[in-house]
Amino acid sequence: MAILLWSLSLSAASDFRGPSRDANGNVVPTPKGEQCIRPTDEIRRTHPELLLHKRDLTMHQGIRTKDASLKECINCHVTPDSSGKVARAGEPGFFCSSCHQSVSVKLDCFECHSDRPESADGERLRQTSPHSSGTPLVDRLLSLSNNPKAVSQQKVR
Amino acid sequence: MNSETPIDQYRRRLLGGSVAALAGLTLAPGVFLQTVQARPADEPVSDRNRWGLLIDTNKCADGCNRCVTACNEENGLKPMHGPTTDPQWIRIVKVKSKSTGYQFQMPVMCQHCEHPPCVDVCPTGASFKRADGIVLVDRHICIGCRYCMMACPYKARSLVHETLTDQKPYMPRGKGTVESCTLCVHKVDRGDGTTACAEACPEQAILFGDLNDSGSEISRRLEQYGGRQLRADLGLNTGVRYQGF
Ligand code: SF4
Ligand code: SF4
Repeated sequence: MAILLWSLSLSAASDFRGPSRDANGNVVPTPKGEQCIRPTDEIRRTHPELLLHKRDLTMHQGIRTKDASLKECINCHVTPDSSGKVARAGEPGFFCSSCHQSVSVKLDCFECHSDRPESADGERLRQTSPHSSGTPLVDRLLSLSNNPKAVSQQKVR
Repeated sequence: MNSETPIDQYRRRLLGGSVAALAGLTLAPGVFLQTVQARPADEPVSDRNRWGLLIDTNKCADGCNRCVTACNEENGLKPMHGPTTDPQWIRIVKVKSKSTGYQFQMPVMCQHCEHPPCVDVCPTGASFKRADGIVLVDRHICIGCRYCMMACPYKARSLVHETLTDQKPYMPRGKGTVESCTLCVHKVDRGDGTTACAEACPEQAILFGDLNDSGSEISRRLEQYGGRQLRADLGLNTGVRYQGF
């Protein structure tokens, strides 16, 4: 499914032929897809509402379609530049920052959300981390052995 | 998929008689993987399902914490500044009977209460229960007041104290918000039909399933052997059930 654009970068031409430059002259990497999910002038204005709407649908109703998914924006727009480097959120050349910095909009999406495409992280690692837990005892759970009510058999459903 | 898998045969035996069913249980670990169907991505979750876990403390091996490490790995929890502040979604609780000296351990995570106190006390609406019973924190709304941490009888929640980087794309997490076990909601929504902890447990002590589906493995085991809620006296009707103690 073809997703997002780099059409948001301020100086971007309206084609997808090569990397463009943002208002500060930084190269914005070429997106993977050919076509944004919405026409350029529309997505420039409505992407905050689209993302907000989708955020609530995903969070509260578990709707995980690709349209207007921040994850899909990242999958398409965060690509290596000509030297193979992938910009992190906030750095020059990171797609979202390229525009938001110019217009002095502070983004906090990436304090929580990953600024990397899924594929870079999708591999499931199964090694055991040295971080072992085993922190003993939830005090209130002690009542398991002390509280006769909690130990009595429960009818389940 | 073959209609006559060993699992189908097992199910038939389970229905047929208790002796055969007992044999089936030991012969067919991992059966639960087959019972959950993927929901279309554009369909909202509904109360047709109620997701839960069944944990068998008899199987939980002393000293093991593979579920904890699998959970940390799956959800991107990394050691930061030590156990007093590091978020923890599953903890291994060791229980000892004062009278007999008998002791065992079990994993305790968010119990996904039907009547969650964390949701009752949340001043912002960030703490909420999905229609399918999974209790989550909407971090977009959470202000980090930690009321929910105080209200939870299971000590299931943690505050993220540190600035985080390299979160998992499917599990956004960040400083100043509260979090707890999501029942691997990203896996549930994907239709995996299991959780990272259930997958990782070498003893198959953790079973994920649909408590509302009377045909699911978890429901059948509960029906046959019973199950217990931690602090059932609180009447929270937890989605996580325990067997074996
Ligand atoms: S176990 Fe705690 S965090 Fe989980 S739903 Fe119940 S009260 Fe909330
Ligand atoms: S810490 Fe967040 S989720 Fe918990 S009660 Fe406060 S606002 Fe609600």
